[in-house]
This record gives sequence, structure tokens and C-alpha cells, in this order.
Amino acid sequence: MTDAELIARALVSDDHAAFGELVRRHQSAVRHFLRHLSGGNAALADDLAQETFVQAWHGLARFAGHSSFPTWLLGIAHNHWRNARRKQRTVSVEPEHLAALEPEPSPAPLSDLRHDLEHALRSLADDERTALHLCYQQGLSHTEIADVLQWPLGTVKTHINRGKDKLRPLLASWNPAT
Amino acid sequence: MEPSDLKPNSSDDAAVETWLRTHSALPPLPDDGFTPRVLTALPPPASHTLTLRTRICLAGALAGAAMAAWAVLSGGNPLDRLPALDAALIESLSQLGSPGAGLAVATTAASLLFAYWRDLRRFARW
Repeated sequence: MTDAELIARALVSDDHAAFGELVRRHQSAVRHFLRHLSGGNAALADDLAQETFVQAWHGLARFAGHSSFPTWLLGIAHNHWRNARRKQRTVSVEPEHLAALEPEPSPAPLSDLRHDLEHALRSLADDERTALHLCYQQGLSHTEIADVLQWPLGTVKTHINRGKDKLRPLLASWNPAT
Repeated sequence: MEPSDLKPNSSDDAAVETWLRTHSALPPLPDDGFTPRVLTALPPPASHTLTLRTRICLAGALAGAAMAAWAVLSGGNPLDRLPALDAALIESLSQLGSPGAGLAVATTAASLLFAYWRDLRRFARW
């Protein structure tokens, strides 16, 4: 069943099972995004993710389909995170503080390149890192990123390009051409 | 203007693209009870049985119809009373032309529409 069919069932029949299937499909992306925004705070991210889906349920009738459902969800998640930060429930962790956070357990040892890439990403500005996260880790297009973050399209492209420009010298040792 | 040797070349761009696409992929997070917690936080599903107000309205309508039927049937052959009913019905309907009666009907219709708006919208979506 497609997302659109599940949404229709949830709306028309008040079908919690259909909405539950939507949650199961998209919870990983939303929680990953919120973990990224909250600097790895899994508990806070899951709380905000739960609020995101509850708000999505209440606002399902307003989802007009102009964007994809995952993009719409990520936009709600981003708004919840901004509201939470405004209320000072948490503060976006600065890159230099990330090292103090306990890393999430990984099922397999990270390759050296992946380790260096993660370290290099942490050195970027928040906006650049978020833009790269949505582009390369969530697979969103620039237009979708602009929808989620409520940025002009040019700003999205600028942050992505700047982020990549900063990564280039940091990972130069991995480039076989250099 | 930047010196040309400082400008990124296409192989550098391709390398960064490849690293980002290949090595930054995130493994899917296990649900671990997340979905049930979300569903628990939702308002309870709307009941598909008749609501109390619907039952009251139906009961009133049935009671009114029963009383009307009893009035007709208790007066001997109901067919004999049809012309009288006709006249009575016509006289009753003519009363709706008065402003007060019209206002009463409009108020009743508006209150029923307000009371059943969510149900009507839900059925309209079918």
C-alpha cells in the first residue's frame, strides 16, 4: 500500500493501523534527522519524533501532497526542534562539544574513511552539516531541503557547496588523485 | 579572482560526492516500540457505532412517527382520514411561510448541521 493510500485510510476511516504503518515506514528518517539536530541526544530526538508524528496525525487533513510525505514530516520535525530549542529544553551542541557526547554504538567497526568523514562533518557549521545530512544521508533534493528547512533554494545550494569545499582539504589524504 | 590552481577540480568534487554518498549512509533505526508509543499518544479512534445524539434524534423521529401513526390508526379506517390529513398537512405547511416558523426551521437545520458536521465531512470523503 502506498503512502497516499495509507493517508487516505487514516483520514477517512480514522484508521490507526494505517497511520501506524506510516509511522513504521518513516520513523527511522525522522529520528535520524532529530538525532542529527540534537547532536546525538537520542532520548530528546525520540521525544520530538513522537510529537512530530502526533502533530502529523492531527494535521493530516492539511497535507495537500505538494511535497512528499517524508519531506512534510521532516519539516514538522524541524519546527518541533526549533521550538524546543527556543524553549531552552536543549541547546544545539556546538561542534567542539560533540566529542564529549557518547557515540551511538555501531554494529560494526567504522572504516577509517568513514571515521574521518564523520569527524570532518562535525567541524562544519550547523547549517552546512544539516544541509549535507539531508542531501546525502536522507537523500533529499535541494528543493525538498528548502521545503524542510524553510530556506531559499540558493541558500541550500550555498551551504552544501561550502560544506563540500570545507570537506575537500580535510579528506585530501583519501583522494587517490592527490 | 582565485588563482586557477586553487580552484577545486572535477576529480576532487567527484571524490567528495562519492565519500558522502557511500560512507555517510545511515543504518535504519529499529522501531523498538516507537510506533506503539506514538499510537498510544493519539486520540482514541472515533466510534463507528451511533453516537448518543444520533440515537436521541432517531428515537425522537421514531416516537414522532409512531404517535402520528397511532393518531391516524386510532381514528377508524385510516384511509377515511387521508383527505383530512391532506388538508391538515397543507395547512401545516402553509404555516412555514410565517417568519417565525421559517426561523424555527432554519435554526433547527443549522443546529443539526453544526452537530453533525464532522460526520457529514467524513461521509462526503467516501
